[in-house]
Amino acid sequence: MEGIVSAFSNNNTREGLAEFSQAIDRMEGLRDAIFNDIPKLMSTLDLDDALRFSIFYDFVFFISRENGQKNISVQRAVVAWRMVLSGRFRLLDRWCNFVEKYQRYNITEDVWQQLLAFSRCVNEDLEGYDPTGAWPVLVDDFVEHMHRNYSSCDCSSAMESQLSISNTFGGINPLPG
Amino acid sequence: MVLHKYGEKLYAGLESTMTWRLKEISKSIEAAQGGLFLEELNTKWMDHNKALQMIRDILMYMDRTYVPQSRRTPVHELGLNLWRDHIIHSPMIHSRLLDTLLDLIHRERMGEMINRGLMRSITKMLMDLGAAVYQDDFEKPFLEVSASFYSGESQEFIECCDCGDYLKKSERRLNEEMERVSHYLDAGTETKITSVVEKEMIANHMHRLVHMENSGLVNMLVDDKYDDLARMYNLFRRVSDGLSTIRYVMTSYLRETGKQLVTDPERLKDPVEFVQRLLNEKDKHDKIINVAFGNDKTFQNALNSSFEYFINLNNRSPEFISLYVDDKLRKGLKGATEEDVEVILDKVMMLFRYLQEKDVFEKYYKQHLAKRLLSGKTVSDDAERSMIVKLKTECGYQFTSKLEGMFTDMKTSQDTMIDFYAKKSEELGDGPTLDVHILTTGSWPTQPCPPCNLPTEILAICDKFRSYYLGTHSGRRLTWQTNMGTADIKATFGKGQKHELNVSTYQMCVLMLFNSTDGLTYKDIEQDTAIPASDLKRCLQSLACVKGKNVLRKEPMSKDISEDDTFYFNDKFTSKLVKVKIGTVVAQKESEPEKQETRQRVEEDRKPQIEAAIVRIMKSRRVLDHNSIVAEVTKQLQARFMPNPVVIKKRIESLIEREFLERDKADRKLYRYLA
Repeated sequence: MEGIVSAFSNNNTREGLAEFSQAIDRMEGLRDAIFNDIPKLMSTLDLDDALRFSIFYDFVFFISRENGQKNISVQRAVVAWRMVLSGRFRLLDRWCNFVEKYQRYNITEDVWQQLLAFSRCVNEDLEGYDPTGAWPVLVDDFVEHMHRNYSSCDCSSAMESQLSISNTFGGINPLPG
Repeated sequence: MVLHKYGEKLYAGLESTMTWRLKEISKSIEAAQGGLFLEELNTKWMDHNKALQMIRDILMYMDRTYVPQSRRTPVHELGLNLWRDHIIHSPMIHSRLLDTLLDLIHRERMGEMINRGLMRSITKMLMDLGAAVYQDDFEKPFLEVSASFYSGESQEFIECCDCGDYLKKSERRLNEEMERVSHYLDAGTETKITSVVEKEMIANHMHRLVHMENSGLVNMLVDDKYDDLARMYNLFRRVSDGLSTIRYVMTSYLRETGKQLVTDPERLKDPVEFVQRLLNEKDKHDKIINVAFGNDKTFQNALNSSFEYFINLNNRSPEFISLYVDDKLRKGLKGATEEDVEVILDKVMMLFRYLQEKDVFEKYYKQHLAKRLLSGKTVSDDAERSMIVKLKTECGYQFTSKLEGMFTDMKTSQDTMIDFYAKKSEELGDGPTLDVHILTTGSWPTQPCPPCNLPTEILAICDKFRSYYLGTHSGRRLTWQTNMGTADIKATFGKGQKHELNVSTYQMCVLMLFNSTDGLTYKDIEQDTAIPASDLKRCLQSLACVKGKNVLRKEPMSKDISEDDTFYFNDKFTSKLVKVKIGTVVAQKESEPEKQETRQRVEEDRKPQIEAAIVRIMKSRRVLDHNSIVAEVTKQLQARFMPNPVVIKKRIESLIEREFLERDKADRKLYRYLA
């Protein structure tokens, strides 16, 4: 199993990967078997290093491709994301729900790869997201969706924090009189 | 005496004598009463000048030798200095002189006549005594007093006058001051006093004037007050920020009214009227800028940018402008001279230039032109071509190539038809005449549409034409666009009266059915003709429901067509006209779904254009960051339309997917071109 991942990471030309992919498909059921074993694979591999994880993450996309297709279906992408990004992306659940609900087309390799970059540079409140940051449209839409749907119910907590700010000011009383 | 080394004695004697004399004079001037004071001063000044001249002549030798040697003040200058010190600066005269002068000027400002000659002499005296004397002893206090005078007066005016009157008064004051300077003040004072008036009367009240209720700038613009506007322009031009204030207010007014104009749902009902209003608005303000603002470039730019702003607020503007042209080229220009036509078309082009979505205009223009050409409703071929030439000069060959293709098709069709009848007239006999327009696919805005069932008579000649055409042009495919044709048919009604009916091909097919029967149900007609339901309903409506054109009778009678209706030939049809036009295909404002469809087609057409631009850019730049690509693509395409950044992004993603581009491994915002 681990051999397959290293075979993937050693094959960094397009032609090489295509050949490798065909090799996997020649053994019936192998692709699905590997896909289903991703959690197991993750527990055996040392993925603490960010670079190594990136390679593994790209491998997951590679193995998720079916019938020689370039892109992967939304359904399969969501399953794969839930396996591979669990505990690594705080908005994973919301992202998956959003994609399942709104994305009508297959997931491209670019979107797959950019999501990892996205998960690394934003926090829970989407702080760190740059609207001019060349994110795929799907990511932009997701952020907009989050702002629209969660900012309204976050109002109360925002109010609370504002209240507490004014309280602290009241206590210190920076401007006497 | 100088020769005998008594120069010093002589000089001292002269100085003391003159001083003594001037003290005498000063007393006599001081003694002068009221108004005579200035005259006395003036007379004495004249005398003094004359005496001084004589003394200088007499003591010329001393002036030439002793004075330069011992570095004394020359005689004449000495005389002036003494006059200055003992007369002008004498405590009794100094302030009295100033007060008198200022009082006289004040009186003149209030409308009194004063002795300007005397004033002139006195100010000239002050100048003769040195520019410093004039400035310190007169000009400075004069400017101060003027400032407070105009500050008070402008306050008073602004409370009680409207903007136009205020400006008139300011202008008059300004002219008065300039005139005063030319009559009896030193020329150097002009810029100083005018800047006082400008500051007090204009700069300080600029904003209040411009925004004055019921008479401010906006009202002047509304009421075309050219004189007032010109006055405002000329006065405001004198102060800093004056013109930019006018420009700012004008721009926001234009934008506001323009926005109302293009978003008012009432206005959207009549596209021709809508565009006419825009043109009128443009004419109106062009004239204002021309007449009142001296054709100021900055104002023209402000006008243009305002129009560009609000025209694009309404996404139907391209359609409406095309409809306006359509209306003009159909009928509006009948009887107009060639020059008139040019003027109108030039105006339309000006609006066209403001459009951001020029490709949408092109789309509509093509549709409207097709209808005009096919229905033969063009008033003037020259006007049509002139418009195309204008579009070509504005947007280049690409923009109009298809439009020109349509004209070529029309011409070729004409030749083909002549040839067809020349060769085949014997075979045809005296059946119906066919006039075919052969349209090149791609040049015309045709939608694939299954042909309806033509009447047998027509079908026969169509087949003959088909075999003729394909015989002369091998390798072509001919399909019939029955949804776009027209027909002239002769019909005889109940009392034997004959009419020539001008109808569409669909209507013709329906009417021909009634040659063999009197009554048909909707279902029968639909089955026999195979006309698409929506078109059939529209066509039956125009045949049976329009008063004066109801050659068919419908049961039950109602405004709308339903699938259970039955139709009869209307025997009782009458019309004063021999030729009856029924439901000609006039280009109309699109309905909401049609509009959506056109919009979608435009969006589809833009995709390849955006992709082509991206590839062009990346081919030459190899590596480029996202925002630069967006900026470049926008720059390249904005002559035709404003590409939406999100759409550009989607196209980039699609190009990545198709492996034209890839993201840089290290910097994800960079794209690389994959050759």
